[in-house]
Order: sequence, then C-alpha cells, then structure tokens
Amino acid sequence: MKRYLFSIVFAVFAVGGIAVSYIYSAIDHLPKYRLAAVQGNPEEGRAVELLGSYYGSVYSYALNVNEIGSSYSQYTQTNFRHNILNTRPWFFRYSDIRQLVKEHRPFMRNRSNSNGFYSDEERLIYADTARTYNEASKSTITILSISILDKATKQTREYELNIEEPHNILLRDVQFTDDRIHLLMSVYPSDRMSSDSIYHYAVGLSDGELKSVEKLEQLALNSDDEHIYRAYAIADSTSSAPNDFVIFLQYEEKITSVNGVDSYRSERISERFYAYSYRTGELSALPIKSGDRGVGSLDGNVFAYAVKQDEEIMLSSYDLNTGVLNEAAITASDMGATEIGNSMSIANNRLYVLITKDRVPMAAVVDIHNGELLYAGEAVYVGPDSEAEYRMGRLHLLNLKVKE
Amino acid sequence: MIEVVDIHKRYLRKKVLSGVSFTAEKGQITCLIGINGAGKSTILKAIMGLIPLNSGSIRIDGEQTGKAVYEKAAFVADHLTMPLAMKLSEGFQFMEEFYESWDSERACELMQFFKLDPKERIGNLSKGNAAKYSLLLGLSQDTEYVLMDEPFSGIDMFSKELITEVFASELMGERGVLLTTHEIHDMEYLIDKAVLLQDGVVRKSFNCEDMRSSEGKSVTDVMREVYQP
Amino acid sequence: MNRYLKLVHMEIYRFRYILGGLMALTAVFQISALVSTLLRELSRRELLGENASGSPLSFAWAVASTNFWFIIPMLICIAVIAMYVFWIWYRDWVGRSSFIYRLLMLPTSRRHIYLAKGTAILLFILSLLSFQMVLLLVENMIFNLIVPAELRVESFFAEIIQSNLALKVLVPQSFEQFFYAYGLGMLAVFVIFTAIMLERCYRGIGILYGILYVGACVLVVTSPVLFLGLDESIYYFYPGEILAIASALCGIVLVISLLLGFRLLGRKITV
Repeated sequence: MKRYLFSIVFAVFAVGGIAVSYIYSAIDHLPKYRLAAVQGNPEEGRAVELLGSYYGSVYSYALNVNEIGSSYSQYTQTNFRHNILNTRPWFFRYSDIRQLVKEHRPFMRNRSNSNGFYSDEERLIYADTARTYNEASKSTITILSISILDKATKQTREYELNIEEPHNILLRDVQFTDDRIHLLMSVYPSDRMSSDSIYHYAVGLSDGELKSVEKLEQLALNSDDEHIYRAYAIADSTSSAPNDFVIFLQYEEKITSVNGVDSYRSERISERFYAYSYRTGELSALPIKSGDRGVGSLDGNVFAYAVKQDEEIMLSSYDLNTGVLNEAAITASDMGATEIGNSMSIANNRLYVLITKDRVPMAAVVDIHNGELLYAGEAVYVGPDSEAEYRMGRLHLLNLKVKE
Repeated sequence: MIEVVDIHKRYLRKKVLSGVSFTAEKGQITCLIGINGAGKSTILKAIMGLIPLNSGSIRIDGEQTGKAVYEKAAFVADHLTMPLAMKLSEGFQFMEEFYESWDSERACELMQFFKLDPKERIGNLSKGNAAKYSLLLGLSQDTEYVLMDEPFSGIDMFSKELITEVFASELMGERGVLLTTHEIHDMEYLIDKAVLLQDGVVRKSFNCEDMRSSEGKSVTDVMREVYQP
Repeated sequence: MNRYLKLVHMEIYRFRYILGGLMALTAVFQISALVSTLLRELSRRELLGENASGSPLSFAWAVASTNFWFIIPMLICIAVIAMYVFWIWYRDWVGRSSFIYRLLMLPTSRRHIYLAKGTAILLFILSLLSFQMVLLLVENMIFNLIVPAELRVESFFAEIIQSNLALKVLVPQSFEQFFYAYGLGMLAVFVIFTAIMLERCYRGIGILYGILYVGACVLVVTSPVLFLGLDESIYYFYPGEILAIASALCGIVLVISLLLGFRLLGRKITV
C-alpha cells in the first residue's frame, strides 16, 4: 500500500482541492441583501424585485434583490440547464402563456407570437403572420394564419388568409366577441418620422372569412419637420385574457436636434390615450391627464395610468365600461421615502414604484384606484451590523421589476 | 497444448497467413521456422491476442483464448515491452502487481545469473541485456507456456550462451515452449518439434528426434528439401 | 477493480514529473508577476504621493492587473494536457519499447486500461485546478505580506475568480455548471479515446474513421443547437423537452464511445 501512497494523496488532493474551493466560495460569498417590509402588508412585497449592481473592489456585479434574498444573476444562475430551460424568455415569461402550455400542450406547440393568443372558457385562439414571396405576383404577401381550439371537444380548426396590401403587417393583439375574431395589426412606417398604421381586421369564427378591415385613421397623424406623432397599442396586461377594448397611446415629440439625414434627438411633449372598442369600432379619447413618460396598463375594463411629476406620482384609473375616473396623487413622503425613483410598473391593479430614503433603495406598492400605500419595503444587508453601512453604500439598485 | 487451427490473416492487400494449423505440446520446445516475413511473429501475436485474426481458431488447453490466457502463457517479444524510464526493479514490481503467476524469487535468481543491475534504467540496457531482461520477465512468470519471438536475433555470442544455458536447464522443465527463428543453427539441438512455414501455410511439421532416427535427416536437411526443392 | 486502480496509479506515476513541472512553471510565472506588479504599484504610489489618498488595493485588483502573466502558464498547462490526451495512448506504441504489448497482455479486462487512462486525465485536470486554487491562497498571503494593512482591502472569493479571464471560465461560480462543463470535457476525452482506438485498429484508413467518428459525435451533441432551435429559431420543442433531448444525446454519445472503445480495444486492436 505504501507504494500507492503517492497516487492516493494525489487523487485526494485533486478532488479535495476543488471541493474545498467550492465550499469556501459558498462561505465567502458576495454580499447578500434582502427586501424587508417597513410598512403595510408583507404579502404585497412578494412580487417586487429590485435590480442593480454591487460595486466590488474591481468590477461591479449585477444582482436582484427581493423579499427572499439576493441573487447575483450573472453567475449563480448561469449553467447549461438553466440556460436551456430559460430559452425564449420573451415567450415563456408570461404566466398566462405558461398556464396555457400546461393545459393545452399539443396546441401550444410551435407558437412564437406572445401577442397572438385569446383564451376564454370555450376556446383558445392563436393567430400569427408570416411573410412569403409569391412567384406569381412577384411580391411579398403576408399570410395570416388562425388556429382555433375548442376546449370541450379538443378539436382544432385552421384558417388562412392572404393579405396583399399593406406589406409588412404584424399582429399585435387577438380578441373575440360576437362570433368575430378581432385582430389588431400594425404596419411599420415607411420612414422613421411617421407613426405606425393601425388596422382592425375582423374574421368570422365559423367560416374564417374576412368580414371587415378598418384603418384607425385618427391615430395616424402625419409628422412634420418639427413634430413627430406616434401611436402604439397597450393591450390587456394578461395578453390572452378576453377584453373588449384596446388602449392606444399617442404621443407627440418635438425634435430638438438633427444629426444628418436619419438621426435626430427628440423630447416627448405630450401623451394622449384612446380606447378602441372591438365590438363597436368606436375610438374615444380618455379623460386622463397625462404627462410624459408615464406607465399605463389595461387590466380587464380598467385602464390605470401613473406618471411622475416633480416629486409626486399622479395616478389615474378609468373604468372603460362605466366611464368612472379615479384620480389620486401620492408623494414620496406618503410612501415613507425622500425621493421617487425612475422605475415604475403597473400590474395586478397596483402601482409598484422604486423609491429611496436617504439613499437607501426602497420599493412601494400602491393601490391604483385610491392611492393607498399597501406596502413599503427597504433593501437591507444580510450580515453583521458592523459592515452594514459599508455594504449598503456599495449597493446601487436602479430598477424595479414585477415578478410574473 | 496450444492448438492453432486454420488461421488466416491479411494485412491490407497482403495475405500473411493462409490457413496455418499446428500444435505445440507441453514439455516440448516447438520451433516455427521460416524466412523473414513468413508470418512467424504474426502467429505468436495472434496466439497472445495482440492482433485480430480474419478467421480460424486458437485454443490453449482446450479453451478459447481470453484474458485468462495471460496467466497461462508468457510472451517474450523481440523488443522491449516495458517503459524505458522504469528501473529494472520497478519492472519487477509492476509484474508482481498484476500477475498472480509471478515468482519474485526466480526473478532475482535470474537477475543474478544474467548479471543485471536492478537499479539500471530499462532504456539504458544494451541490446544483449535487454534481451536477457525480456526473457527474465517471461520466465519469471510461472506459466505453462512460454512464447518467444526471435530470442537470439542480434545478440552477442556470450549472451547467447547464457540464454541457451537457461533453455537447457530445468527452468524450462514441464513448460511448453513455442519459439520462432529464421536462423536454426543456434537452436537445432535444443528443439523437439519443428514447424516449417512458407507462403502463409505450414509446409511440414515434424518431431526432430524421430526425423533424425528414422530418416537420418537433421532439421537443416529437411529445410533444404522443403524450401529449395 | 483492483487492477483498474493499479493502472490508474501507473498512469499517474509516469506523468508525475511533467505535472510537477507544469505546477512549478505556473507558480514561478504567477508569483513573479504578482510580486513585480505589486512592487511597481507601491513605488508608483510612493512617488506620486498617493499613499494617503488613493483607493485601497485588493487582491482581486492584483489578479486583474496580472491577467496576461497568470494566463500564459494556464494555457501551457491546457495545451500539454490536450496533447497528452493523445500521447497517453500513442506513447505506448511509439519508440524502442512497446509498452502496449505488456498492457494488452495483462490478465485484466482491457476496458480497465481505457478507463484508467481516462481517469488519469481527469485527475490531472482536477489536480492542476486544485493546485491553482492553493496557489491563489499562497498568492493572497504574499499580497498581504507585501501590501501594508492600511493600503489594502479584502476581496471576496468570487471577485478574485472573476478578475481573471481564464479562471472565470475554468472555475464556474455555479457548482452545477462545473459538473456540466467538465462532464462535457470528459465526454470529449472519451470520444477522442475511441477515435484513437479506431485509428489503432484500422491503421491507414483508421485515421479517416477516427475523424469521421469525432465529427459525428460533435454533430450529435450540438444538434440541439443546430436543429432543435436552442438558438431560438425553431419553436417546436418546449424547453424542458430540449433539455431532456440534449441530455439524452450526450448520454448516448458517452455510452457509445465507451462501448465502442471497449470493443475495439478488446477484440480488434492490433499492435
């Protein structure tokens, strides 16, 4: 046995050395933080995640902080298994799509457009566009394909429509009312200064025939040399949920400087919201006072909007059916903070906002209807108190995210 | 008994063995004779499982060759088969580690007999000493059969004498020995059975003693008959 | 099992000088680069009077500043091991002595030879990694000796690793990833071993077989990326399914390489 001592020690060193290193790295980890509740219901804080980085001695390290703890996403989560399982994040990040995959696995296969779903108790509809080159007419045409799954019988029906004009048309939203499948489509403008052209296509559910095409003219204002008008759709935040409405944001930008032919700088001057009803085809302006760079979200019949103005957040929520408008304002001190950050999000009928108190990053959750503070939490250092100040000083959290 | 039955071996285009059959008994020294390239080494390597055959079979004591053959038969190649960086004594250690049939006492005896230095590196041995060492490794395995490929080729006269002494001694005793050579002169009086190879087949195989007494021919005589008719 | 371990010991033992040389080389390169960088920085600060006001030095900074000299010996080690993946076999055929005769005549299953060489390669790789970790520890101590306490600040283990471009990759932060990365590496070693078996069994045309075999294995293992849309261009399979397929393909390539290698070494090999 003595003869083999060399190899035994060698093998133990080889395996043990690496094992000890990994154990050590688990012990000597980068600083940990947590989102701790300061006010209100801690349950509300579950959905919040603050993003930013920790400034080390040489480099900075990106991390997320939530109520469970912190994770340095760049490192601890990067492994092959994780990368494979998180492929196509733009599709699978939506909880409703994940749920649909669970319930209707075969139908959901090979779907790529996360905007293309509509789901209610009876049916699941998916639509998408694809471009092909038509030899005969020597032009690109768009094929709109629609698949309908009857949830009770599990049967699927497929329709296909050719759209010759306009070219480059894309699908933005799918809805269904009164035996009609409503498809909201948009076309990128031919030049950067103009706005998207927005169309409403209606297709019959039972026969797959195109019933009507409407261009929403009011949204297509022409830009000129000094002003640019743009419009885009804000669909229901749960994109597959039934909704009779879609909201449009139209904003005006003033050109502040032009560098060359195609590049320019601009400033957003104003925003205006419109509600479009798929059922009636009516486009109506919403009585919402908007600033610039706010966040808006449609949830069922309620459109909620929040915009930061000076040191205040103006909240509006408008019921599209009843026409009732609620407005509220909330200040930094209402939320227990000294400053309002630049990251807000509306989800689940709540406003989630990044705030700071004396340079400590915090998060607040506010009821969208009445502006009531439901939760406020601050980032705290998990570790010995003697280091807390130093470690907090090196933490920079600049963004807020709501977990799906 | 080593039984070789109708073995064929082809290297790319060239057919080296075209149906060779012979036997080698225990307690006898059998010699495969043929010119260079006649396939003698090939036969030995095939018996030891070092090269695959195209067809035919080889049995040792009635069993198909498998990994058990390595405790039954020892092979002494015509070149060194131990790492050159090893010392002679380390070579022994290696053999002892792996072979149950290794007899270390005999190994030391032979080492002294051949006057080899255990602390020498294998790579530094002269040709003669290297041959002695290879033979030593083969004979110190307490196997029933010993196969040797050209044991005398390129060896100086004195080393040959020493090796021949070992052959004649009781070290060989009840073992079956199968060796190859293309120069019969040194060995003629030692061998019991001769197998003459030409063009990939066995031309003649006979017991030397019988041939001498019944027909009065030496092995060289028979060789002349067969190879130069 | 016993004989397999003895063969592993033999393989380790015969490589010990080269391994020792690689480790010594790495130590010399890294420690001298570290010391010279530190002394240079300290004297620069002294000269410019920055000692009182400058930001403190950390070992992670030292590693970041010596990237070039740290990585050179690592690359040499990688190159030597990569070549030894081939040489560990060919050395037994080439030269005045053919140790392969002895190996093939051992009264043990021939697959033990194959596995012992594979195990040895894995242990060499791990030992170099472990040595590098120990060396970092020693270098950290040297850093603490050279830089006075007022001028320095502690570094986290993760910071130290991230500061070196090669270590970032060789010592992944996630232990799970370590398994995947080095598992794939060993898969590659076994594929190469079997390709070498093909070459040694079929000589002339064997090289072609070997190359084709390696090509086929690479194709199979990368097919999830090429064909299943792991690069996000094809949407038929769900992520969980792609993971299962990718794992299964790797498993298949491993099993086939091992079984084919065993079979070739056992029955078709020729000296």
